[in-house]
Amino acid sequence: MPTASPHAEYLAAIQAVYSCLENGFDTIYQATETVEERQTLRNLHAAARDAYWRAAATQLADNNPIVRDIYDDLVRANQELRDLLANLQRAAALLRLMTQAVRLAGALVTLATVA
Amino acid sequence: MVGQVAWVPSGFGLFRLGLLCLLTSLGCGGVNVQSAARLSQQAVQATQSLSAQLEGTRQGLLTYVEGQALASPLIGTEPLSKSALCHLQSVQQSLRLRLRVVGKLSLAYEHLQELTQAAQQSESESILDNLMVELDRADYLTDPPLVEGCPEQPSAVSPKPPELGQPALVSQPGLRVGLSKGKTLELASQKIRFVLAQLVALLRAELPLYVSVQQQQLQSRQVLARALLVRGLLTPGELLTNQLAGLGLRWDELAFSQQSATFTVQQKKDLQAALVAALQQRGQQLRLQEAARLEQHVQILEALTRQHVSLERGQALDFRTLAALLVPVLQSINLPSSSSGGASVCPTR
Repeated sequence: MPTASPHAEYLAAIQAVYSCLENGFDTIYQATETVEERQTLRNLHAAARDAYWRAAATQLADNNPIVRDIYDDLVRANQELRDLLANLQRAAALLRLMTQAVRLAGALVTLATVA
Repeated sequence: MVGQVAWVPSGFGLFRLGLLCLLTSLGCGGVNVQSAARLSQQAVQATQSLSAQLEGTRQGLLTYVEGQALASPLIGTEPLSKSALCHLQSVQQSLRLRLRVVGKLSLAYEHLQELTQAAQQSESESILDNLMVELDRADYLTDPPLVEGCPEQPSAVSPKPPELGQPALVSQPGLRVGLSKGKTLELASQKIRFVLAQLVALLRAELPLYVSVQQQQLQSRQVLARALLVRGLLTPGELLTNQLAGLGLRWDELAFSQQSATFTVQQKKDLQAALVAALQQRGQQLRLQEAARLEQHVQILEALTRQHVSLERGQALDFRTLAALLVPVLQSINLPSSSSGGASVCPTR
């Protein structure tokens, strides 16, 4: 059981999702085919940005096994996102993975925040 | 005969003799006033430099908000939500509080500096009297609200100024109450070191946050710059300045606009890709530099803590101190630090 505060690594994982969406927004936007996909992309970007600033403003200190599992899933999702972005073929698949990553980021901030 | 050989004034022997004289003249016991002056001078620089970087990050938050407003219609992202703005405001406030603490430490070092000057000049008036008329700008830092209606942060309230006419409650140790100069400096150093150690621990814990926020600001600026660049709204003259420096060439804006009108589609694409790649590289470099600077600031403060201990123990310049200064230099230029006949440590082919 790790004893040090996990804030730095949780924040880094949440930032990775936001960075991915921020940095790749223009490219992914061009790759989207429908209006719905574009709106999904906008919503995901906004949600990832919200999650990041919420994480930056709070203390992510809860390190219980459930939170840790979410963090591990998020790290995996981030890696998959990077791989998928490096070889952008289908925006729909990317958006599905991004949705999962943003959900995990949001859950991590909520559950790891210590009042 | 052997004794005579030992007294031959070789370069090294003279150096040792010089050091001995120096140590004798400065006095080995108690706090060395010269060292205290040097330490406080370096500490003022270090704390002011850290303040400047934290202030840059705080100001950068406003640039970030502005950048997001620009990006929304330009790239198609959603505007910043009220909740995000409130969180940004909270980060801004944390930075304000840190700035205040670092500012206070900087002031403390300025007073330590004055104390050492007074000790050198044998002045008897109390330096601490200056504290009564001190105005710390960091106490009054404010930021306009990014959005109305955010939850109130209790620690956002500025400290109340002392009431006029109130007698000074600050006990004034040191020169006035008859402590020796060395003892006064030692006490001052101990008090500052205690605060410094706490600040270093706090900064060490918060360093990932500062780095993260700084990197995010820089990345968002880079994304916006890229968006403007690929839309043909920016010229790359400044980006190429470093490449052209010293080569006797300079970017010609007029020639560029005339030439670019004759470019084929492929040439335009290639140029754009090249500029975007250079921008990415510059952005990456900038992010790494800023992170390294923050780390460096904390390391300098940690080193200052050690210097305080050294000062308080009355450790004057000795061979160990010299070695601590010289060994990294020797290592960096890859020379053997011992007199091993000058054998090279580089692998031979």
